[in-house]
Amino acid sequence: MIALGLIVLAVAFPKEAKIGDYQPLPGYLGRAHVEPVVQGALAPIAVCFEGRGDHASSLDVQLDIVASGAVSHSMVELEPADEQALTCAQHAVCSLTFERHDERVQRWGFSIAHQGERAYLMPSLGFHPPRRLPLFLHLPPSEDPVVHDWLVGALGPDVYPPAPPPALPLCATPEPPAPPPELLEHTQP
Amino acid sequence: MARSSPHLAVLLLGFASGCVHQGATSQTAADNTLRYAFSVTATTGCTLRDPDGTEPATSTGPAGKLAWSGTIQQVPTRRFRDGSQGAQIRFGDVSLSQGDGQTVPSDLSGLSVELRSFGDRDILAIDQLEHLVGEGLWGDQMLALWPALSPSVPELEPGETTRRRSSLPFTLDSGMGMPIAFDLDWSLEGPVACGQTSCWQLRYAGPASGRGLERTESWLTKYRLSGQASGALLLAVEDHTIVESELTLALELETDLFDPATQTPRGSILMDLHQHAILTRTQEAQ
Repeated sequence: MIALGLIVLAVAFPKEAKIGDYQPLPGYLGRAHVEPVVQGALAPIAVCFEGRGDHASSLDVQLDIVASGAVSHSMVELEPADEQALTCAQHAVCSLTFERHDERVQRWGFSIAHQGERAYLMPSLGFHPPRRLPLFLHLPPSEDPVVHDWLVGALGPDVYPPAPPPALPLCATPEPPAPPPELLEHTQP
Repeated sequence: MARSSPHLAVLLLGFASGCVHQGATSQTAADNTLRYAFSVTATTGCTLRDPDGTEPATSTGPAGKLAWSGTIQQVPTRRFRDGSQGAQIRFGDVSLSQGDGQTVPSDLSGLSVELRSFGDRDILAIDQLEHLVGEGLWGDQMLALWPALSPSVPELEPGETTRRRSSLPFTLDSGMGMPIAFDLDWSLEGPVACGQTSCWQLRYAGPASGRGLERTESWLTKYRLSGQASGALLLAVEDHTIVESELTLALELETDLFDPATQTPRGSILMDLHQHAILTRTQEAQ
């Protein structure tokens, strides 16, 4: 049973790629990559797709994850922030934003499926512990230096004043790399 | 008959909310989706205390004001072995204003948690609260939303007042946070007209209390909460779903801060929390 599980994992995640790697997705004339990770509590990450619009059909995107540590696969949830997956293939560059729902997960691995064929591996990404105030405390930055210093002393300089949320990474528009020959053969008449 | 109808209405709440996902096989999850427009306002004021209990030279901390408005979907997801029911609570488009600033889109939009409750709507857990918490999201400032969305309605008859204890387990997956208890006196009126249907009208009020703690690498906090809750509720006579729900909280929260390694006191923050939540059932997909 354990061996079977390892085989399944090996098929789904044949290797770990580096951040920024481009790998071909059979049947889809384009590339995908992950923008630099935003650090922070349950920070969203953007998975960017760069396509040529050669396919009228939608890019059926599914994400599986490999979580390091003691968190099991089933305890982790990813969900797209919107329905972009349905029209993603019709844009030259588009992105999907995914949420991390369990802060115990420190690393992720992604695979993407197109038309039922799971063939693309996304990199693993790392996260850092969250930075936030204790629960229930809403403490905007104080203009009173005495109050400011008191709160810094009580909460710590790494907690107060609260930092603005990290900006969501925007998908860059890199030069489209030449598709590999086997992909051209597959898609050209 | 006049006495048994409201009794029946309340008894059936468990059926309406607990078994809603087990309807006819022709029903889809979308059929059971409840949609609400909501707004929550939260104002805070705080007083600082030194570790020895005295107030520093300037003891009034920064005041906060937050206001959300938007939509929520409640979709039944699963039934647990103890009979409780899980439902995905998903935020639609949500706007947020901070202080006197402009209203901007909130990052809560598109996020979801799982609300686990019993048939009487008493909240057992809110899973995955973690990702509603933090600067810019401020989900931990929306305490009034959850009891308004899932009020624990007692069994009672018109004109009768019944006390019931209900809970708001505002805890993270780590178990840290603060369970809050409400001892509410409920009364039932109705049926009354509400839109094109009839509703049971319920009102409630009573004290709230809670104790909890939270520990991270940066801080150790101990929470003590007390205050008052009051609200009103309109339940559809037909299916006992929430048509409108309103809740006001006036709470005092004392947060004792400690060094997480040495447990040396760092001081205390006393906060006045005033929150108001309104939910209104909507029929159309948002």
